[in-house]
Amino acid sequence: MSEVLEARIDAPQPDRLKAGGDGGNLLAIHLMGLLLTLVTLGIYRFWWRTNVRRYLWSSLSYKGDPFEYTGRGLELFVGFLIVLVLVVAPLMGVYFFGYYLLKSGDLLVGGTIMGGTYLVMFALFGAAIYRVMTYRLSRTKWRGIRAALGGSAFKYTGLYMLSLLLQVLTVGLATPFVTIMVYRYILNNVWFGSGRLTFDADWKPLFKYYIGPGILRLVALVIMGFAIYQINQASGQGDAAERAAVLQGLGTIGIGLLVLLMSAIAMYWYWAAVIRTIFAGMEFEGVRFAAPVTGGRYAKFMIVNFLLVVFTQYIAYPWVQLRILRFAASNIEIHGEPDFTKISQNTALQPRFGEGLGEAFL
Amino acid sequence: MSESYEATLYDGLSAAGRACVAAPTINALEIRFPDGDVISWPYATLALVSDEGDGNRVVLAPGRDADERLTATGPGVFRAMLAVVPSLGDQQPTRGYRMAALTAGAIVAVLALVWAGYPLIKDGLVAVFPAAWSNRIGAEMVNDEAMFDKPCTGAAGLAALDDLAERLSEGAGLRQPITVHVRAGDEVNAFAATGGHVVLLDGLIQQAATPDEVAGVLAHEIGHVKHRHPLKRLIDVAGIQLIVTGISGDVGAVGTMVLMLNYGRRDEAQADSAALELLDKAGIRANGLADFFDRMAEKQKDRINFTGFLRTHPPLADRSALMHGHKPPGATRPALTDQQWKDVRAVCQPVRE
Repeated sequence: MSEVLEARIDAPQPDRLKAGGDGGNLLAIHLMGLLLTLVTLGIYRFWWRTNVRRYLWSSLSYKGDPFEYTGRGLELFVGFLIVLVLVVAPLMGVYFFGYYLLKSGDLLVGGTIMGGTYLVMFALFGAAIYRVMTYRLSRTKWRGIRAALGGSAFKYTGLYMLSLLLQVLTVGLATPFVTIMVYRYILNNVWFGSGRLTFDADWKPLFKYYIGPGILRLVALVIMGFAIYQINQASGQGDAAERAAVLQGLGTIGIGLLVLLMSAIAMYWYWAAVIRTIFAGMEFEGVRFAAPVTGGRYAKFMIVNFLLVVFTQYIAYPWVQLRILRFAASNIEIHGEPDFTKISQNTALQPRFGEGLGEAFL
Repeated sequence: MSESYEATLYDGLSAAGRACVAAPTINALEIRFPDGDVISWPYATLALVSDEGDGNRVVLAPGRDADERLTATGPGVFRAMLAVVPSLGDQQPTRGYRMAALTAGAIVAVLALVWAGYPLIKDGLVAVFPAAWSNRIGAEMVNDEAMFDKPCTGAAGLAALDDLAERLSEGAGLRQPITVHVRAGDEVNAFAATGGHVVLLDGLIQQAATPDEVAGVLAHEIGHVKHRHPLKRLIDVAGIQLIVTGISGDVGAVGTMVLMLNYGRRDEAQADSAALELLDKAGIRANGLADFFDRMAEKQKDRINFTGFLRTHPPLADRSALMHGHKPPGATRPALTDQQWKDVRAVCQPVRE
């Protein structure tokens, strides 16, 4: 008995993040952002987003010191303009050139150019995701020390395209493998000052969480495909028959949607397992992490968030944002403490402009 | 002299802190270390980093871009620091519920202003919109190959339709003459674009039993042109696009969806009554349009009309009744001669084959 008690006392308690923040304050920031965005025909959007992030970051603290978001609205705005001029406009030019060729009879060259621009857009979407993460981490500080995301958006784009391809080829079954592959790249490139995060995990234990919702989703797609086939079959058989077939088809599609919903809910158990796996697989300067969140609690958390947003027509959105912080704070365990004297400012890894590419695509 | 507070200084070079005491003086914050070292941060450049939170912590920096941080703790330290350094108060990002309510009120006021002022702005734009622009935009719309089938080129048929349009629009006070386009396709439909461009689909011509029906539909579209509905709709769509783009950041094109949108009830009623007037002036029986509506209503009966929910058109039966009840004021003659009607029906012949 006393042995057990002693063991419990000896086991160091995990550290946690602390989440604060006040929904009313955040609502005021959102409303002011909306107002000025309306008045400036959208340009204030970048400053709105910046103010919200500043509040959210500062609502989270570790060891009594708050995180900080040091991004500026102007950076986002300039990034957006740069991408508009240097990426979106040329891409649209090339696309319409291809369209022009296609229309004037050069099917092969025109079609290739148009297909090529679609491919480039896909790739840019991947790059945009990475750029956004890079920017946000570079504008995150704690105790005055900057975080950073190394790696290259180019390599990430390759991974992103590869994951899409794998998922398509395996009708989604590669998802657990792909999830871990992508996180392995991102997380191993996360820095806080001179300290680097490392991550490794095995994707195979995730598979059993994915297989159920994965199969449900396939079933839903088959059901809906069948319904559309039925409706098509009935066309041209007279108005009354067509009407009956359409009604029946709609019913079948409804069943398909229901199965799809079940699959989406079952996916929460998968994502909870992903969260557990990811936090268990991370290490930062001798510090280990854990996030023992169960599928049931995660599902409840996500569904409540969704209902709050839908039923209040977004008025509760600030509270949902803070709820997410609280959920993270109460579920993430930090085991151990890094030697802070060894973590110094990282002077490399500083993007200059905002999330431009992300602005255009996300 | 003010109080002093327990604090930790982070030097911006390392994540390890140094215990110290933060003591506000007249124009600088003094940071005193146990070993006797003193650092002084002038109030002029002092930056507030943290939010109020529970009020018992404040994080400061010596400048907006500096990496050094001072975390001071103690009961009420946040407010106390704000009291000593008033310029910090302006840096507070949060404004509370009162501000939320005021801002919400301002948003409602702005929306109400736009709502009320919009019709005036629109009328003003319509009044000054250059005719040449209307014409070019209209020509672009009706030539959009993504939306319409091939243009029909039967010269005799097109000439007959242009004659009919001229006869109908005589004395209507149009700014530009009507240009009639015919496009291949089975759909029974017609559109009016800006600049007097009107599109009839071949399906409509083939489904019409008499030239009077085509004349009725044409008169209805000219009615839209007379009231300048296409330009007004264009302005509506551009306005919506502006707002959507502004808020969401999506950069999409307005495109020719303008034509596909249904007009509102009031616009349709206006076009119908203008059509009656034009038909009367041209001496063409309004029954043609009525017959056409009847046949459309009959066709729709056995169909599940997915767009039906969204349609703002007045019910076809009501519109048909209005036309049937209408007595022409003078003598009438057919809309087209037999030969012209034959030409019009064959206007898409080369394309169809």
